[in-house]
Amino acid sequence: MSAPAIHPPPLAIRCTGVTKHYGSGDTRVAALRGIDLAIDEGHLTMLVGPSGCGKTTLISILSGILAPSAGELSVFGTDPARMADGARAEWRAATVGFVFQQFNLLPTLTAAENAAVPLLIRGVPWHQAVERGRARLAEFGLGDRCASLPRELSGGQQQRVAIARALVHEPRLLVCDEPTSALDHETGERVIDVLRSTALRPGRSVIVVTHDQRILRYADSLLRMDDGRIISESEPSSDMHA
Amino acid sequence: MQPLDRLAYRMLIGDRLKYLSLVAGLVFASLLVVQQASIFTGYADRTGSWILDSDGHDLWVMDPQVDMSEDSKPLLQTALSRVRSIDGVAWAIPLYKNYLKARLPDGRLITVRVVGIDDASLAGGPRGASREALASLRRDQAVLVNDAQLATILAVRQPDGASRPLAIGDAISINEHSAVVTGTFTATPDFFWDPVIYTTYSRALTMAPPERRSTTFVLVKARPGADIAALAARIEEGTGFAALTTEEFAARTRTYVLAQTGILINFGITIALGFVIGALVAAQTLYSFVLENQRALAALKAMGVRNARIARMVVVQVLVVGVLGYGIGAGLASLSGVLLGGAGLAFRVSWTTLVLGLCAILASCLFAGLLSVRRVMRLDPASVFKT
Repeated sequence: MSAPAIHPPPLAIRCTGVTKHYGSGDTRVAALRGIDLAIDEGHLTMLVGPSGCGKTTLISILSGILAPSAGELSVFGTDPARMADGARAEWRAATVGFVFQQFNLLPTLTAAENAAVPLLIRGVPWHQAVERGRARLAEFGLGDRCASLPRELSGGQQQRVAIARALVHEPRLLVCDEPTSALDHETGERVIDVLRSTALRPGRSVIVVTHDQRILRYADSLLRMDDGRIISESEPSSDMHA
Repeated sequence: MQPLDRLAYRMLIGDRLKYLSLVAGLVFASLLVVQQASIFTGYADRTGSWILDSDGHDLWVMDPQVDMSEDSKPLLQTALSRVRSIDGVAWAIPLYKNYLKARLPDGRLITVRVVGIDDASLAGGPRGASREALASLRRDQAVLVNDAQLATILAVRQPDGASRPLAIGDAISINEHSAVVTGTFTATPDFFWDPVIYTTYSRALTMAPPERRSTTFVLVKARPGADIAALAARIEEGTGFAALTTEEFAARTRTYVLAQTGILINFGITIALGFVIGALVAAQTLYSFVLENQRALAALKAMGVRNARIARMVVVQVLVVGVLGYGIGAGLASLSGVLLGGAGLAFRVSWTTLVLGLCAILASCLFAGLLSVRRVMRLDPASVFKT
């Protein structure tokens, strides 16, 4: 009697030898120096490292905003770098959700309208999109602030609107830049719970860039970067105990 | 409305101060452009008023060197017979027109335009004269004056310092020849300001200084069913004179006046200034609007909005403020024309003015929008990750 086969989770992201240079000639700067990386579906991956180590460049490449200078990239089986600009924009709109550190909410839209923006980008009719934005906000405890403008919300509330926006169109890849930096401990935990539950769904993956030591323990995988390289990849528990 | 177009609209109107200053700048520019263009059109229209007010004939025959209605290059009296001999002419009559001095009952001397129309038929008289007024020209020394000028330029100053309108029955003299006002006529406001006084052709010749050439124009009526253009060509070929329809003569006068006076340049400068100011205000406000929204626009690009879609969003914003600003500005300009029309302002809002004005304002807005869009196009969507 043979033992049952164990299937590893499918890969969400694979990078092989990814480099990125800015400028040319004497002003050429290497931001990424050969990144090899594999991220499983259903994983919450956290990216840590000092400022200027290449975290932002890496998530920009993984989310299809920037193209690498060299190397192979696969995000859910697609290499966005090989797409034309327009197709890559559409791929981002369909596949990636963003949570920006500075929220980048549109100041003249209400919270519900802001949360609906990714749906509007994909052509969902206004009222239908805003309704779904409203439902997302309710999940984050902001059901009563749907009609508020961003300036009428606290930093934490704005961050939750930004996360609702990132999730409203059910993206396969969620890229978060310091998602808990503006939140108190309790709200930060709630946000991480949401991110984890998002990552755990089949065919999804979440990448979080963070300096927030409080949330590292929630990561399935912790990547440490320095000087354009990944210097360590570990389970958070082992890393934190190190 | 496409969802992103609506998003662009919401982004625009959400910043009330910017939105209102953008619209206000365009209202000002549109007001200036439409108002000045309409005054210009009004003045241009008026250059042909006297010609268009003349009644009853098809063609004006004149010396080929005549540039406009006020340009007197008289023909020999034999011109009349030569024109009458052309095939297709039903009738032809002489018309005299010249600037003469007139003395009003209070002794003031003014320059007037004396027009002498055919004694027998009285054709070529003003369209705005009643049958009775025209018939009164058959009386001795009779002249007709413009009723709009009775209480203005023709007003009679009295010894006590007050003035009264010139009235029917008043005696005046024209070039030292006695004349009596026997009637009035209504005329379209005229670009040329000296009063027009109608009398008969023969009486006008007695008033005028003796000249060998005394026929300023020959007025021609074509036979029924005749081709007017062909008749004009035959007259020109057979006599060597110029033969123009009323509309052609009015257009020639308008062209000459606009070319020879500074009106076109003056109005052109004002209109151009309005346009430039509007374009600058719109460009500056739109540019700063886009700058302030730069980060949000970069976020939209990061989230998957293509450059072309961003450009379309800016075009939507530009069209909204452009059409709104132009609509209010053109409306205010039209209103000012109505309100000031009673004061004698030359003002006509033409469809051409409205369409060209709209195109000019939208073009300036689009130019401003494109300047702003260029910056957004070059915006790095990865900048949204930077603090």
